[in-house]
Amino acid sequence: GSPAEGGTADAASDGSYNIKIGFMSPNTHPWTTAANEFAEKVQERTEGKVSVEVYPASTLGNGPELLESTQNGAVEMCIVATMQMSSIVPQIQMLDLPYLLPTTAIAEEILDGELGDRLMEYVNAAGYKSMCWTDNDYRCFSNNTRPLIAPEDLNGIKMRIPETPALAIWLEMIGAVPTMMSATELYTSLQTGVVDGQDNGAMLTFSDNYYETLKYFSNTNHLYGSSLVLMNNSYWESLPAEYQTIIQEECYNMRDSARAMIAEQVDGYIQQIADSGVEVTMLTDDQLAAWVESGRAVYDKVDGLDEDLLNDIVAKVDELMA
Amino acid sequence: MLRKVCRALEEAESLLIAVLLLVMTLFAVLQVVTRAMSITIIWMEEATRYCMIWLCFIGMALAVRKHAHICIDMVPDFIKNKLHFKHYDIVVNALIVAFCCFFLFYACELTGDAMASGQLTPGLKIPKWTMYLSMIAGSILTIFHSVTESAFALKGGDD
Amino acid sequence: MLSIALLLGFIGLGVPIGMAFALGGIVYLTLTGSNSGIMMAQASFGGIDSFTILSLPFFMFAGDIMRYGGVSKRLVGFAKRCFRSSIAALGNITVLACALFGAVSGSSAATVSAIGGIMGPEMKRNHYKSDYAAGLISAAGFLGILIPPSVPAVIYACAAGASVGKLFLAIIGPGLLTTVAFIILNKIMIKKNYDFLAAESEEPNDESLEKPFLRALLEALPAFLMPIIILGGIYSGKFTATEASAVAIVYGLFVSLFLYKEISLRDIIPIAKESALTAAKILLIMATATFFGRIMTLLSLPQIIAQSITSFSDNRYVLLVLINIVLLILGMLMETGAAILLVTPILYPIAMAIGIDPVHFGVIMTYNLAVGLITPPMALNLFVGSQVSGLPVARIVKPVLPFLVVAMGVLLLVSLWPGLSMFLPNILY
Ligand code: NA
Ligand code: NA
Repeated sequence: GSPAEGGTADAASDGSYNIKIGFMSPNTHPWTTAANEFAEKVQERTEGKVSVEVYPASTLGNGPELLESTQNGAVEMCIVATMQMSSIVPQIQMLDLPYLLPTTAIAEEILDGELGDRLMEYVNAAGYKSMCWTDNDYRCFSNNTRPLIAPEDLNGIKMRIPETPALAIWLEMIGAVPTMMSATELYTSLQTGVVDGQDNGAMLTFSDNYYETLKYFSNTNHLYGSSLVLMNNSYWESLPAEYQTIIQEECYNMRDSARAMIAEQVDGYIQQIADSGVEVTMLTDDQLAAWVESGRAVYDKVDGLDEDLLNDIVAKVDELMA
Repeated sequence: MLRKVCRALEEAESLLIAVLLLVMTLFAVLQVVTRAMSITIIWMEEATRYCMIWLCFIGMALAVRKHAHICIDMVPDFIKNKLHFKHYDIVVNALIVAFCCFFLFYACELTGDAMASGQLTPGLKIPKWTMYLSMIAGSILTIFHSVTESAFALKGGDD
Repeated sequence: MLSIALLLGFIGLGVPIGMAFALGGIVYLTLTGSNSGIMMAQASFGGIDSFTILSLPFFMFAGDIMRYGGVSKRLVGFAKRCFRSSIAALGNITVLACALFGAVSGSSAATVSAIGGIMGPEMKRNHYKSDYAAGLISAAGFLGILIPPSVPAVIYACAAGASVGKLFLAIIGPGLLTTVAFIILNKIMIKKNYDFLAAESEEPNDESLEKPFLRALLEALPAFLMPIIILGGIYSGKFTATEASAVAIVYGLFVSLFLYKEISLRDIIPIAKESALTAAKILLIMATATFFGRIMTLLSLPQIIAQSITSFSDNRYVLLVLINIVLLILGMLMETGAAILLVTPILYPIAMAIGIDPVHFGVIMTYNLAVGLITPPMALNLFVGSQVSGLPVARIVKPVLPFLVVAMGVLLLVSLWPGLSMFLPNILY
């Protein structure tokens, strides 16, 4: 297209394609490794006709920017946490509900299946082509006040969370004080005590050094880090079918490889956090059940969700847990 | 008449950005106070940021009117003082208008996209396009000021 | 390279710098037939959609309030009373104040606006040549990111997976060394930049020197409480460094309105108008510089540079110097945070390959980009310095040069002598 259309990138005249893929995670993150593999494979399998450039660490913009760029075609592909998408696809807020997807196995089973496809339809309606789901570690609570074993232990703790209504409502319900704050200020705020705790997962808690400022870490796993690999829909449709097949297949490979690396690394990160002197609490199944129950109490307090889909997901989770 | 409109506009823009700055201050202090009282107001941080963005783009226009933008004026000074070309400012204003036309065009596109998708801001839950509107408003005002200031420069006289 | 030439061309023509960044970028995109122009609006918006940047307008506002409200006057009056013999004192106090303020704020531009807003007019009133005063403030302002906390250090630590705590400790050594170096430089430079004639004709009338010590202290007491409240509030966890800038406004208003009574309620709006306009001009540059940085990313500029330096040599010291040069060039063109995010993934592996400690490399990077804050065209400190002093940017460039040279000297030391940085973290970790 011309600049006047401002939007979708088409193929160059010689039938070659160039895909920019952007995300926020740093270059040390499994997503970067997996995306680089993806780039290599796609290039190889299309005999160089489709080249992929990988832009980690927000170099093409932060979450909201990437989402818009992918929507309007300035960027062809992105990997974004669903938590960042709620303003564009309100229905996706379902995934912000605490303990909706309590284990990785259940999460993958549900999202990769028919229920996940139903959720993807809402995303595709906003001008994207959802390539596949991926994940980014579970969010866990860590703090400087006391070890968290039961939800009630959160009482009175000032907890920094991302701008996520469902989480805020839940935390207020169980007596904690949810606090919104930009990530750039989190480290010093934990150090000085502006906030008592934060809820990044083990990976980020370690790689962004928050563990240096923390005393207690519990693997509460209250929020599955569901993320989507997205492509601009018009761009997708401009691709020849054979390339579409290759890219779709390699997206699945990218997802699988990222998932495997993350699963493998998370335990290591928890170990390193423990080794640094943070008191790590690993919750037992019984203890976790109390957290799940507490989280589920908030589901009917969040408005505007697809109730049918939500009920189907909850039913499926119960079935898989049993 | 035109000069009056410009003066009124200048006063309005000036007042608007001052009020925005005061509101930002209020929100930021309230955030400290409410946190101390263990109250959570989810939209406050976002509202503060958005005030700042409006301040930036309205201030962009005002700075053109007040000839106050930050620039390196070695070449302009040379042309004006040594080559005695009095109306060089009009050249700069033309480039400013060029910038604003681009900016306006793409800001409209972005705003249009955000309108079409019905995107809401995460905290305030207001349409995101109302924030992108700041860029449209800012560039239209800037174009207006660049053109009128150039006209005033050609006609000469104060203001 | 074309995009950079365009940028420099537009800046040279006298286009406002904020608009030159955008024009340079968009003309480049149009010439190369790219269709991602919408990125201009998007990146510009995203570039200032940040809570941390708020400290900039806030500290500018606080500085103006303290200036009009008589807070700064009394602080400086007391300082002058203490060092009445030395003409270099005010400059030294400015450097120290920037370092102290650096312990509160993580941002360099905020430091320039906060300290510059107070000390700039005072230095001018006390016969410092105004361009020297502005240059001193702009240079000393980068102590804001060399004394922890430091926003660029946090950004690097996250990008490189290094420890923030260690990095904060590691920048202290270079930060203090720079403080001392700047104070010495001020003592040397002041002789040429002090208006002795004006000083002599006025000296006997300077009332602040006549005042009894205790009275000067008492008068300055509410003003002294300001840093105590801010530092205390931050370190006791009442508020963040960004929020502190808003608290400073409220406290400044309180003291000016009710204790010193130098301004009244109806003065608030005019002061806010002035601060808001100043802030808007700086914010516009930060916004469009983000867009320009995005184009640098898309052009793979850092990769190209990295490739060329590794092909140049594999000698540790040569590479180190080359890395420094690359960082300095990037510092001229890009905003600090964006530059760090962009080049860390590229330069980090090279640094590791030649055996540099990740924390030490973080110090090198932070220091380089701090220097970048006073190297045009993208020289945020000079822009802010020009705003708080009311002087054109071009006039500050010259007085900043000696400070730039000294900073480069310290930078060389920082690069080649790991002990300077690693001393503290090695003891404490
Ligand atoms: Na600092
Ligand atoms: Na620079």
